[in-house]
Amino acid sequence: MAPPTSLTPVLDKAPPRQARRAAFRSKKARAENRTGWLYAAPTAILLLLLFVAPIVVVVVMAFSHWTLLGGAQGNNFPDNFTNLFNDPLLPQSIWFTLKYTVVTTVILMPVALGLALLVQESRRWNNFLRTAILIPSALGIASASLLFYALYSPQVGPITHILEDLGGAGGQSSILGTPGGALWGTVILVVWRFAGFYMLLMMVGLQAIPVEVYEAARLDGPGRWKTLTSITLPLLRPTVAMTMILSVTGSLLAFDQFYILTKGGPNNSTMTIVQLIYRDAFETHKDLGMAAALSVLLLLALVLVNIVQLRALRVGADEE
Amino acid sequence: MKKSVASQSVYYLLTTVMVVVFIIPLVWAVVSSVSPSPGTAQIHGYGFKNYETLFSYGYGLPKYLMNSLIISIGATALTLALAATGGYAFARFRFRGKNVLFVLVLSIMMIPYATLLIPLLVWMKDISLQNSLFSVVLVLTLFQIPFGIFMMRTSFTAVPRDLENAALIDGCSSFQAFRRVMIPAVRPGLITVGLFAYLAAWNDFMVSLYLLSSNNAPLPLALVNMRQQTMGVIDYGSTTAGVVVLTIPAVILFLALQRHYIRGFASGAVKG
Repeated sequence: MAPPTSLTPVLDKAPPRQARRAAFRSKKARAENRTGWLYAAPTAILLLLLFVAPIVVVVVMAFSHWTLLGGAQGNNFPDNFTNLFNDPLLPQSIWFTLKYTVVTTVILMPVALGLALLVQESRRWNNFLRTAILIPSALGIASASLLFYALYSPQVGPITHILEDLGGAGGQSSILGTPGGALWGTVILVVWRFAGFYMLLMMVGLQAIPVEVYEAARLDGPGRWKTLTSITLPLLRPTVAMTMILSVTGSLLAFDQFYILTKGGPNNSTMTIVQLIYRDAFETHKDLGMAAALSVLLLLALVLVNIVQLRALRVGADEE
Repeated sequence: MKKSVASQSVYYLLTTVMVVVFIIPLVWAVVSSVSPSPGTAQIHGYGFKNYETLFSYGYGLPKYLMNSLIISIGATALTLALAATGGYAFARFRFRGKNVLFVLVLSIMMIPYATLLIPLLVWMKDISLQNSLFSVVLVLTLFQIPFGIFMMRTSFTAVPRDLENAALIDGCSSFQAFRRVMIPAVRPGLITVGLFAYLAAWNDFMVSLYLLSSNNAPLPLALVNMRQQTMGVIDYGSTTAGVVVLTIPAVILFLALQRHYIRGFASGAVKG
């Protein structure tokens, strides 16, 4: 997601209505309008067919009795929603998704910033370091999850044996077998996969801080920690906010890692909201109407969360 | 600033440990896929038995790899075409509904995949694209559009107007000027957009899970299905072999084009 500050320039200030009409009456402007639309048309068509239309369809589905095999069977509002709220898994999955989001973000942000500060200086060793940290970003979440699934397995993976040697619970049970183990196992996978990605975003932010600021501060002779807390962090606030929005949005929509690593288990303890949508649609209820209703609610919640976060970010940007 | 020898060695020790942490799972996957282990095809000594199992699983590895390639190349080509034309439109022209369209493009970033995939499942049936690789290409392209358009808009804006004006005066049509003059001028931007699109499509799991059956599965989906089919006894050998097959092309491509990957971040329009 892009920072809103860099997006505003494209939104041309709307000229007064009359002036705009006059402008479009002129031949040149009309030609430009036509050519512009010719270039924009492929994108506009794709958006209409695969973005706007499906959103209309999903709202209709949310209000309809619509099963996976039987198709549309007419309006049934508000049954899909009451069915959703009667499912004890819903509050459980919302709670788990929020917990996972907080844990992931709280760990990923400092790790990413720490890594960025560590490899920021351009030296040969640092370039190598940066590449090493970034390599996991080339993997898909699905393949990374499969990889960690094997790593955690007691049969072939080394992790269980290492934990055993350290005196923890080991033996033939996977660490994914307990709710806590499943959560932390997934968090470790996600941190491994995304640390480089967020490090890079932090580095871009760090590079935008003018060197003069640090030079001026050096006259006072602050320590490294003081420099970090009173100069770097405040100036980095827009970047931190942006990476936080990305991390929060990504975690709230987590699916692949849990689908592959834990299947929502043990005992549905690691069921996320997006997983619940999939289950309602294909596994338990085979009810697309319910799945649509939940995904509409999720979309609304996400828009709300993003608006709140964007507002917080904009306040931060104005203060600079 | 001079640093002491002690702090230097702590630095190198710490960072070396970090390199190991980030690299070792991948190294382990490669080693483990050829190592002997009970419950896999490779029971005695080192060898490629796990890869043989993987090769003949289900519809066969070549079929899954081909599906992955078709989806990845298709999505990359379509993303490039749309990002180039769309980005050019936003960078150079004033047209009615421009702002609405731009906001619409950016709002794709805010939508959960699932919210689109549930109706698309029905929608694709209506337009006779159910269980087709092309439907996945279309959806993956859609999700690349915000980054692609934003990146290309920035790239085109940086090209001086004189360049295309000269071409237009020489008698080129607008499209000729676009194709012969503008496209070569924004090649670095196109490489970045293409790299992101390719990696996203090659690694995609969720879109194909929703839209494709197992006979049309790309490799990631096939690997997950493979693991689930052998209920109880999971063949970790062929799973790690599959991870290696899936990872190596992505890592090579990434290492070769790392510079362009980093450039994408500098433009500030990335979605993970």
